[in-house]
Amino acid sequence: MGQKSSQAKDKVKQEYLKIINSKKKDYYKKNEEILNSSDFKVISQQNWKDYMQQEIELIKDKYSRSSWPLDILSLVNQWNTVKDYKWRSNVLWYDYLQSYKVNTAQDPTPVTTISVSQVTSQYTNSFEAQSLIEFLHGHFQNPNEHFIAAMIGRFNSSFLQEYCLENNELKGNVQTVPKVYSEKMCEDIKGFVMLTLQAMIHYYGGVVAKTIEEKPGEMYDLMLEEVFTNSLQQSLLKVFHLANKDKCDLYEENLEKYSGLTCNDLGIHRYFQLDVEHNKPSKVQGNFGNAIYIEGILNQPRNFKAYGKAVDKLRELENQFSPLKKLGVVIQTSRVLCECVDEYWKDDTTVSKDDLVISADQILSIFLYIVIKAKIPDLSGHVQMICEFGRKIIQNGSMGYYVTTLEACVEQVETMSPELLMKIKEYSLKGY
Amino acid sequence: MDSVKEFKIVTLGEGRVGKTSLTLKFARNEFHDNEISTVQANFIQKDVQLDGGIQVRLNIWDTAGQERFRALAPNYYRQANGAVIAYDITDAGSFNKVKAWVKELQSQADKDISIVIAGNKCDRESERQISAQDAIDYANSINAAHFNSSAKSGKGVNELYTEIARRVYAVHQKNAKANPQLSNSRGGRRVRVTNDEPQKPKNKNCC
Repeated sequence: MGQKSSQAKDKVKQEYLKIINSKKKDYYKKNEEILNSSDFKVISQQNWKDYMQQEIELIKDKYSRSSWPLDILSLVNQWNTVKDYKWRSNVLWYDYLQSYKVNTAQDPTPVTTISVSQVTSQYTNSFEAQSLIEFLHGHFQNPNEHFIAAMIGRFNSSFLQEYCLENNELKGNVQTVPKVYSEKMCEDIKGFVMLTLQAMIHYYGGVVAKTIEEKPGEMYDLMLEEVFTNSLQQSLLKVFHLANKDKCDLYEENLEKYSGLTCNDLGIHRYFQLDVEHNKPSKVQGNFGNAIYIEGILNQPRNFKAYGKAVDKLRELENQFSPLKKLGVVIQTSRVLCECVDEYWKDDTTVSKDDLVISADQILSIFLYIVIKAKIPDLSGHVQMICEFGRKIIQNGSMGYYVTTLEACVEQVETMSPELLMKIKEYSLKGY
Repeated sequence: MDSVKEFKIVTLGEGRVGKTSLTLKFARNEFHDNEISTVQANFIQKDVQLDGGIQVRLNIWDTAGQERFRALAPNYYRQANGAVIAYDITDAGSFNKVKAWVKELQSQADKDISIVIAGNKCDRESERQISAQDAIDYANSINAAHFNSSAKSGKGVNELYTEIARRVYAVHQKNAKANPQLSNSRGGRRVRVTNDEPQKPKNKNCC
């Protein structure tokens, strides 16, 4: 009896393996070209290390004043390639599994004109990852076994040793000429990110190389995310601060001086003056711009927690240390800002959707209000980090718009003056 | 795997000429009824179909029109491929502002920037203060296109954005021809993430 059952089991197993084998064959056939590309052969010969050495030789001269290329080279030379095998072959398996995944219905496209970068989602370090990019992220959490992860770790320590003291303060030479060093430090990071991409082509070959070929921008974003650590961003914030010290001081001084400004002081349209406690409109009286109305608003008690959710959101800039995550915070702030307006007017039927259209003038003023209330030290440094490392295609799209707006707000705070506030008041009284 | 080409278009003009409404009119069908009632009209993305089945994506940046924000404009038109400069046909002063914007763009913006001028509020023809011919002549003199538009009736709105799309695409094609991608003499796969669309690395064969 038992024998029969085990025979049956064996049969099932055989058939199962047969199916798997034929699926594998299909997969190999479909991807023959990639799998047999010269890069993949490189992997099978296990000599990706040679290619890495060549890559570093190529960039060594360009970064001759920095220590990281040689540090990475010594890492390559000492690396024991056996440890990597499972990671590299995993990618093939992952791709194979992906190719047999049932296509589940896509979420409906969200109704918005803003798209958010891919790399902001939560990653899982498993075969359940939703995309190759997510899957790779899981790999980078293993610096002891995974070469690229080790490379990132080595770069970080090399970078910090070069520019920072043990207490994380910038070294004296960096402090003397911060402008020069801020450029150099950014160049180092960008150069290293490009090296990691090149390294991945050799390390993984096949499927990953193909993805890098097809979506170099997304892969660049992924690697940028991996390379940024908190210490790295702190050192950048410090050097940016020193390089723009005068402006930063002005910004901080003015933040303190003008922290009590109201929405009305900043020329924000009545519909968006969420700090007025009883701002319910009466369409019959209508004219929001007239002087009597403005006076009326001025006498209303102010709620200093207006746009509170947006203010809190923007403050997250300080907790997110990679440029793309910071970018995500800026985009989310622009959305939360709309939610605040919706929330404020939700029970009021006299306000129509057409009234709640935020123009460029208004978004700038509202963002300025949020910036003043959020009081983020070194805001310009966070913005600079996004601008410095974000790709141009991101900067010229929707995400760039809000970063530019934030940048404009920093400038507004720096140049804020009683004269300007007087001008805004005159403008509001004209009923714009 | 050719992705849709994206271009940055900036909308300039004095406050009250109806810039925001113009963009909003153009993009109206991009907004659907949903729970989010507050609409941000300051950034709009829309695809435009050109002759020959070419599709381009316009990222339209609205800019603040109030004088107090004047100094911030360069932040917004930086790296723009095209500019739509709007004026109000019933307000002579707003047309002078167009000329000032053109001068500024010519000296400060990207040298290849395409310009389209929009004479807005053309539904109020009887109050016209700027002669249509003068406006067209001026546009011709700076190699820009001119359209009469009305955000209210929708007249000329699609036309002017299609024209700016056509122009920025033409400039892009011209530049692409003038600077073909250098082939990689080393061979092997090289990654390039350039300013524009990310570039495909040159494919093989390895050293």
